Amino acid sequence: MGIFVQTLGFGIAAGAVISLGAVGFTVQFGISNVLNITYGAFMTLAAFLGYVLLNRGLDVWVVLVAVGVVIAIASAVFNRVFLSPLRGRGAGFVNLIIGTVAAAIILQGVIVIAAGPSAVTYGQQYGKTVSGAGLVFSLAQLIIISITVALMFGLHLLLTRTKVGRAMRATSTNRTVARACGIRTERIIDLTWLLTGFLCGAAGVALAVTTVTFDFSIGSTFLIYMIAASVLGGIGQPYGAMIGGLVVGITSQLGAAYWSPAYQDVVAFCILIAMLLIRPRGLFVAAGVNRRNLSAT
Amino acid sequence: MADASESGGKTALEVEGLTAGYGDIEIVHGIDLSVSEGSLVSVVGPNGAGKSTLLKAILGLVKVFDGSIRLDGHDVTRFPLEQLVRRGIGYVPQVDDVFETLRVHENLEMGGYLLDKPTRARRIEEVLEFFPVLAEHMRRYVGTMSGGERKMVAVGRALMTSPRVVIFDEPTAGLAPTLVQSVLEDQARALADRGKAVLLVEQRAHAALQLSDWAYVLVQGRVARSARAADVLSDPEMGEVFLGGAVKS
Repeated sequence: MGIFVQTLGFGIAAGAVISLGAVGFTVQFGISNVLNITYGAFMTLAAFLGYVLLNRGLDVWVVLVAVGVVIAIASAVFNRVFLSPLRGRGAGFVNLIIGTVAAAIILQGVIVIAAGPSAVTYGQQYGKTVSGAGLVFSLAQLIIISITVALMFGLHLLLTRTKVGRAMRATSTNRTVARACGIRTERIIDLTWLLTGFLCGAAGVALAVTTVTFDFSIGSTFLIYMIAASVLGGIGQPYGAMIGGLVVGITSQLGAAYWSPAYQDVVAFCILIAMLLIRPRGLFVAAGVNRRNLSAT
Repeated sequence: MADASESGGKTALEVEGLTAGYGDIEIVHGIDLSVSEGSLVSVVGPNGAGKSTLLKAILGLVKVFDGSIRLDGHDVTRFPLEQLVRRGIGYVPQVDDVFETLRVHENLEMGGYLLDKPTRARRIEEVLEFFPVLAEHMRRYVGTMSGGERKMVAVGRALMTSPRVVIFDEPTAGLAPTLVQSVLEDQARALADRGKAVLLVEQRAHAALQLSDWAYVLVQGRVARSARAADVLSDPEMGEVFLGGAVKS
């Protein structure tokens, strides 16, 4: 029981980071209809940018916000400069995925050239330990969980209470009809890439904080967890991705504790395959709804 | 020579010499067309004639190579759809015409995205006056509604901005045959009777022409005939040659 509760704590902490990344990933897909594999490489970039800023003496939480902003801008530029022109030339869904795979490999290569192939570390950023009800968290983990909860709540308010949030949901559901309502969908998509880019950058730094060491492959490895969380929650569903992230985080930690740490990734893959076989639309998409859209209900 | 402006009031939408298509390929060539307030103008023709491309060119959804589009006398050629909506065009797309995962009231609210809250509430009341049946379904998800009900939501959504020009792209596509007449009569014709300039692209030529004031027959991307709808309907040559007998049916 002791191991289970302790592992649950690790799982919640890991799940918070996965949720943070997965929500950005799934919202990006839901609105712009691009399965952006480069997302993982942007997380790697965020982790390394964070490493550079930390070495300049900045506080890790200031770094998280600053890197989030940089990756937000980089993501929006990436969409405008690379993906939008591809779409304009008639690239289909699969072509766009292949384009993002290619871009991810290039970006990862650039990171290796700039930072080298060796693993690096943020050092001890954990802070003091906090425990309760058998769960043990480091202060850093609690801050990351709090940041995730705050960002998710902010996203919820944005989607449900603001005009721009409603426009995002409309654009996600039917872009032509959204335009026929007078919504400037290109601006909404730009805003989406900024917002999800921020989540990606913040998740990259959060991941590096909770990882002992990391190298150029951190983002691409983590991408599978985020995809599993997104599929579990129903692709395009931010609330589904939040819950999916927690489920993937907890089960993969339980797999590591009770089976072997080497099988952590296997658990994530098993969840992904099981969901695709049993309930491909995800846990949080109602039957009969056959499209991915940004639901806020 | 008669023209479409005879069929109604002031000209609201005017297309002159429009050539448009996809990529480098021209689909419609040198189209002249006009729609006046209070009139229903149909564009009919065989499959592949370029009807939808013409409509998409007017709406800024495909490339315009040449020609001009004027809305209330102002040049709006190559304006994107969202800007045209802001200037008084309402658009009801063919089949994928609603936010199907949103509720009816949310669809109408999205239609009034550009409006302030009090105006939006007032317009919803107006839409419900036009489609009283929707009042009972405001909390329903549109994805669970029948084709006819969905079409009411789609048209209601387009009416939220109180457009002067309403453009329908094959509103009867995918609908049960029993609903065809009611959609054309209770929606397209009724809006024209309320003073809107209505442009209708329709595959069911006979049904559309029966209710229209003016018709443009499109063949291979060109206007083969522009005449009173009743004249097109009674012209055996139109039915045989251009519409594969559709007019007579």
